[in-house]
Amino acid sequence: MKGIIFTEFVEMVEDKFSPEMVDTIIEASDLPSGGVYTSVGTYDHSEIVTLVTALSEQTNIGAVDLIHAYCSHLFVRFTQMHPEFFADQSTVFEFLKQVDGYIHVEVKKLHPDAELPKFSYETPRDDQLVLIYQSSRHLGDVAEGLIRGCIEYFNEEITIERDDRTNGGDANIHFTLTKVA
Amino acid sequence: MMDAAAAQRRVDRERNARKQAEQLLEKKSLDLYEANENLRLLAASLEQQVEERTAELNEKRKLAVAADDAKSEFLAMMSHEIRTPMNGVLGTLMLLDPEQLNSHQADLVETAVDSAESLLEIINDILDFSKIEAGKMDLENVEFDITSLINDTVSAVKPLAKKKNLTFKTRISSKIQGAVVGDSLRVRQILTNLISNAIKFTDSGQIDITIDRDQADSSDLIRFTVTDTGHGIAPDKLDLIFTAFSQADGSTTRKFGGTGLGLAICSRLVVLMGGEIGVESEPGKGSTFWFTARLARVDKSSSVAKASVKKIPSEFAPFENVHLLLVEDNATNRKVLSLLLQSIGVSFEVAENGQEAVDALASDADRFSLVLMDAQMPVLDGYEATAQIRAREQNSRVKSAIPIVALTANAMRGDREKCVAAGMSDYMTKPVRKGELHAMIGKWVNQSAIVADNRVEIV
Repeated sequence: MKGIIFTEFVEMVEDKFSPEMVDTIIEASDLPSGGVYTSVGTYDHSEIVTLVTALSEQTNIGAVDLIHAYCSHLFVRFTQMHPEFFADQSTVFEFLKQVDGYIHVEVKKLHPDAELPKFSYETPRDDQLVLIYQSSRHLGDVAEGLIRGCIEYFNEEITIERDDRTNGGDANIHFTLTKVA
Repeated sequence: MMDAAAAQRRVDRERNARKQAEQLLEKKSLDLYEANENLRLLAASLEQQVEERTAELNEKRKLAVAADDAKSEFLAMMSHEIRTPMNGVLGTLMLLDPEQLNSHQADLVETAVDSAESLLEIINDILDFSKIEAGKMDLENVEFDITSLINDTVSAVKPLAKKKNLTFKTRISSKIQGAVVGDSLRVRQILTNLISNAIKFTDSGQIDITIDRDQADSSDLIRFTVTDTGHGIAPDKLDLIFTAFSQADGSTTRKFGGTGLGLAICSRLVVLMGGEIGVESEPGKGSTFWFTARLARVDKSSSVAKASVKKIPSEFAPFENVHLLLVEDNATNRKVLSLLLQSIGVSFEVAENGQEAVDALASDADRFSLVLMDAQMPVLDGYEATAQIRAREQNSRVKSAIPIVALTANAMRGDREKCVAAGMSDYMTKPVRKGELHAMIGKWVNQSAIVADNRVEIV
């Protein structure tokens, strides 16, 4: 997993909680990296799970809530770091449809070693978008958190239904997004 | 406050992260350098490959050009080599006096003449075609009288039609008259070809020849049409007949002979003359062949000397007070030409090479009215000899330069120019026929006064 996910996480914990909290959760976890992260490095994706779990234990906040909160933060940071991806998109649906075909292609150019999940989509109705997340990483919560961050960013009223169709092997989760009339 | 140990751990983590980032940066820099280096090497090797390939292609191009030159050279040589003995054969046959032969011998001689004429035609076809294919066919642009050309052409082939009892009609529009500029020989060649074909493929009926302006009177395009009542051509064969080496029917060659090059040559010549060629035909009813040629009309007030089309007289009036110098190294050719000159009643002297000719003229030029000069000869060739003769004339300020007519077996492009450049007055290719020789002598002997004024300046 790209180092930016970890450095952003560490910064968020420092900001929202405290530098001591960062030290506490790192000390509490047995991390292969020793909690040393740089945005240009690459680290095992299980470390982020370990850190979130440790933070949840320390703060008594549910891990899923923490992930969603973190992903909202991360999404805003993405819009700051890569404004070019957001220049032509003005709605949640438009943006999400572009993730697989455009954004991930660009990410591959910058980071040839990045391992990216697959996002396909269906539009059963004009006011509905079904986003299908497929990944060997099983980071459905991260995906949902980012979708929520996206909805927050574009400031639209959209409900999310999550339908986990994983049947052994890779994660296969259908997120049904419906615009609130 | 953060406790000291935790703060220290934070600092350590930050420092390690920095070092890690630096190491990554260094590794990436190295990777980048190596990638660049590989690209540079690749570019260099590509450049080298391009250079090698270019050199190879240049070499191949040189070889191809050399091969092409060799081919042209060969063609020129064959042209010369074939025409020289043909000259001997045809010349000798024509000198046989039919009155001294019995009928069997006369038949044999006629057959031999026919065969030799056909062979010469085939050689000419092949040479013409090769020249056109090589892009070396140059058309002349001289002034000639269009009506005389048509009449001459028609009267030359008319006897063939008469032999087959075919009615023969020629209609020349009143809009066609006077002098035009173009290549008279080639116009004649195409027209002769179409009429000969019409006669060849028509057993009974008639041949109609029509010549008219193609469109409005202002157009320089002249349309020649030849209609016959012959076999006709099947519609699916019509496209083929202007293609080289093809006749409408494979059996045509066996039945009627010919190289199958005639119409192919015509169609290319017509294009060179800015015209078109075509045919309409119905099997069993006959064919209409036509072609157009762009022949610019000449303003009647202009005073350019005409390259008039000479009628070849059927009987050769002897020349009086005409004495020629024949310059020819080849013994057979000398004999043939001598006999030809005798038969048209011209007196002459012989020189065996250019040097002898120069010497003969140096001693007394006035006794000669004309020089017939072979081009390729040992000791001194025809070009150089002519140049020396002209130089002498310049130095001694003679009033009228002697006409020098080149006699050459070279039928390739540039020969005529080469002869003119050397100072020669005219040009004939071998084999020379009696009528042509007579006409040529007549032209220069009678015009020698004019010629002196119009002669190309020799520097």
